[in-house]
Amino acid sequence: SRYEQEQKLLKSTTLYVGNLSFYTTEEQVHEVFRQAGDIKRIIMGLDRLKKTPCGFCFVEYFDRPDAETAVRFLNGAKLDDRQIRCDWDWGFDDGRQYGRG
Amino acid sequence: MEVEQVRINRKRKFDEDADLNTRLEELIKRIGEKSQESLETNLERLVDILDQEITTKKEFILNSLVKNAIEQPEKMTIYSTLVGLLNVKMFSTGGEFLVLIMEKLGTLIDDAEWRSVQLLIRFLADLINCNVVLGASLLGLFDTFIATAAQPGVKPSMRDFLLYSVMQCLPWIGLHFNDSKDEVEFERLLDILETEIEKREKHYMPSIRVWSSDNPLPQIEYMDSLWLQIKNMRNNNWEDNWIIRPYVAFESKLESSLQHPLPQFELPADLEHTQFPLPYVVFRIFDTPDVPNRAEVPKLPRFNSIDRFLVEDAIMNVINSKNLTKKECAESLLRISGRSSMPLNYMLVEVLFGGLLELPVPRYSELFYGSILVQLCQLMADHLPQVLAQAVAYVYERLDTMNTVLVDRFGSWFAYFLSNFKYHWTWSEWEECVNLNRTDQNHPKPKFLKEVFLKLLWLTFYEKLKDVIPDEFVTLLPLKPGYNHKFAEVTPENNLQAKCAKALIESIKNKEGLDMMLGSLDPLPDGAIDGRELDPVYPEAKLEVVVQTILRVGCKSISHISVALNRFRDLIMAVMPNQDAKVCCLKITFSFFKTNHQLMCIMIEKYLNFQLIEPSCIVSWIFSPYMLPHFDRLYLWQMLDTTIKFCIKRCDRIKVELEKSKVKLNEKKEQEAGAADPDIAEKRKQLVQAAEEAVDHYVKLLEDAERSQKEVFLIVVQRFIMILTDHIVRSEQESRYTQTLWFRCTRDRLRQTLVQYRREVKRYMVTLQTLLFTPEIEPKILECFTQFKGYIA
Repeated sequence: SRYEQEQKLLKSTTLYVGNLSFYTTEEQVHEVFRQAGDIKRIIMGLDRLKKTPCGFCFVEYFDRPDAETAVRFLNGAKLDDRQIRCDWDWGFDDGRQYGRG
Repeated sequence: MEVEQVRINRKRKFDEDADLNTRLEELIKRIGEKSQESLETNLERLVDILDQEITTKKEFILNSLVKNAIEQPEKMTIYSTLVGLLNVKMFSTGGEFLVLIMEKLGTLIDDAEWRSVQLLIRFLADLINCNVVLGASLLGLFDTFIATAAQPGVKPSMRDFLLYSVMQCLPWIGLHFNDSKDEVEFERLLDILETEIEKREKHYMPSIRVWSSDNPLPQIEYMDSLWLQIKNMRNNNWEDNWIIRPYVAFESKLESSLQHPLPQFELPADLEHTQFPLPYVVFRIFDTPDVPNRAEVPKLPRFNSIDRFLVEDAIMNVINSKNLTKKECAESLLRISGRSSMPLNYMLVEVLFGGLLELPVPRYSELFYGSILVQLCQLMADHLPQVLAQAVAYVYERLDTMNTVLVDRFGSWFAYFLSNFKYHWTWSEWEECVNLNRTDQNHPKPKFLKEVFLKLLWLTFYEKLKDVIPDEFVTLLPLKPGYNHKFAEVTPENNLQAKCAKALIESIKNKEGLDMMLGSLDPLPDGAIDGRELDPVYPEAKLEVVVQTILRVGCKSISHISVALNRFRDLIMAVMPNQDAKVCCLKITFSFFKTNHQLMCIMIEKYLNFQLIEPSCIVSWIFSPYMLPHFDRLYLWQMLDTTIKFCIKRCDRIKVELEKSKVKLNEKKEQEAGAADPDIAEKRKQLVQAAEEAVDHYVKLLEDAERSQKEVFLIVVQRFIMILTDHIVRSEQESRYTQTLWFRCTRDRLRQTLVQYRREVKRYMVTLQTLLFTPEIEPKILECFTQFKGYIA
């Protein structure tokens, strides 16, 4: 439900990162987001059909305060000359890495 | 019906009351904001409104005044004027207000809210300008502070806090006491203050200085710096060019009231056990001549002028209250810069650089300072970027005496900054680096650029880096990242390991079990192989095949590596039976990622998080002779940092779980006690047992994690001492200069390990003192520990 989702968002340590270039690698994302704290994992968004990166990813931190720092100060930062968008995500589930082609 | 009506009436009254509170709060909060009317008119109006409501809303109004004076210190003098005007109208209210302030002061001290304590004392002191407080009475309070600070045996951090609390009020009140009837007493206090400030010992300074040299601008400890500025202000008849004093306009009105003596105030008796703020050095990079001498540009006050303190204080106040939102913070900083009397762009850059380069760690995250600077460059595109460039150029010129930890931090920031501005920089100004690098690879300037380029590579990709950095710098660019798969070019027929690697890959492809995979390694000896044929650096023959193969399988991306490490965890553990093998695994990994240090850093995170390799093994590897050639590289220290932080976070997380399990145990025990039915009682007893086991489990985990953490700290410090001692001994034997750049950098890192992780290090003081920092070791090394003890005193 919507309420549950909101509750999840308040505790989440996962960010949705958008407006990435299709060529941006996991390593680059790691280097940018590492500045906010320890990263548990990065999941690159993939084109459903071609299975290639398609401009978004999830970044999961170990700790909530680090994720907060990332949302506050990395939203709007540049990565590969593109202004990236960071927002809270309620947590990655398998399948969500596939975006529209 | 009647009852209902009463209820509605009550509710209406309650709502009206809440509305009135909100309205009053809003009026108090917003006084002094931009308005069509003059500040004086608005103040008088607000006083009339407050006067009307004061009989029913006294407590609310007074609390709101105190709250806003602390939360909006930039408007503090407006609030003191307001209190002064209220005191004129209602003398008793002024007295009640002082009682409230003193109570609040006690609470803030109990809560160790040091910044607020000082702001509140400043507010209190400013009330003498509005004729609310009796001057002699304020001096009495200050006398208490100074006398307490001067008592023998008071710990230095507490002494400094008390003295600073008094000192930071002086710019607001010096003028008042000058030529007042209390002047003699005021001068007497200043003299005692001076004696107390000058007799302090500051052994810790080398640990927190940005630069080891005082040229061109001195690095001054915060207490000494403010005292120097106060002395200059005193010589200048207590004049400043920054404080807005609205009470001057109301002078005759304010004079018509009487002043109150301050209510009795005593400092809490057990303050000794409280943690006080740590000392820091005031960051200075600009002085008057750095600002162009043009009519339209305001002059920058000298570094030792009180105005520099006042502006810095105002900027810090904004940062302290707005550090959670970069946009709001940048806009508020911009509003300060609306004041035309100062070259705010220079001061903003200086204060933000000072924050970023604070030792041991920045007060707010490095990302905060980085993103605020980016934001300000956009908002003040005509005024800020060139000043920022000037500051970067100054830091670059002073890299040779800069604390090595800060060279790293500055380089990381600079790479981040460039990546946010399309890598634009006037690179041509730094072309000298190329020649310097040719004659001395260890020269701080080319070394700095190499690190910046490597960080840029990590943020972008090799082709892009080649594209944006001018060709002249090609010798400073990192190698193209790649992998060094040992068995890729070896013909399996001629090499036993390569043969086994091929068999292992087959086994993996066929999705065979652990036994089969291990079976493919059977031709190789367990542990070390006869060194004649194989590389003596990696004696673990089986381990080398396994690690090389798994990295080859997983090196496509971080996710692939994680998946591979997860899938082959048992396989790795089977061929990695002891600590030596683990150190060897790190060597093999490093050799595989010889040209990709970014991935090596990530591998360290993965090995730790997958619990494949213990932190102590990583530390041993970092300090091993094998890594000596990389000893001055940022990635090495990043890996050490990752390892130490891993230990600390692991302990913290287990502590949280332990506390939770204890709470749960108590709950279960209470439930057990309440059960009457024997069946239920039995079930609940079992639950209690399970909860007890959980507590025991976390206690054990915590013990292990804490032991491991202690081990890591002891190894780190021990290795630092060993390599530094070794360096000194060899230099002396060969009659060479001891304090080389290498020595200074390594010593900086030892100092930093102590001060940065002081919370942990403090727990090991006895061990450190009896085992490592013994009187026999080299004085140059021992002094790092002495400095540390002075820092945390």
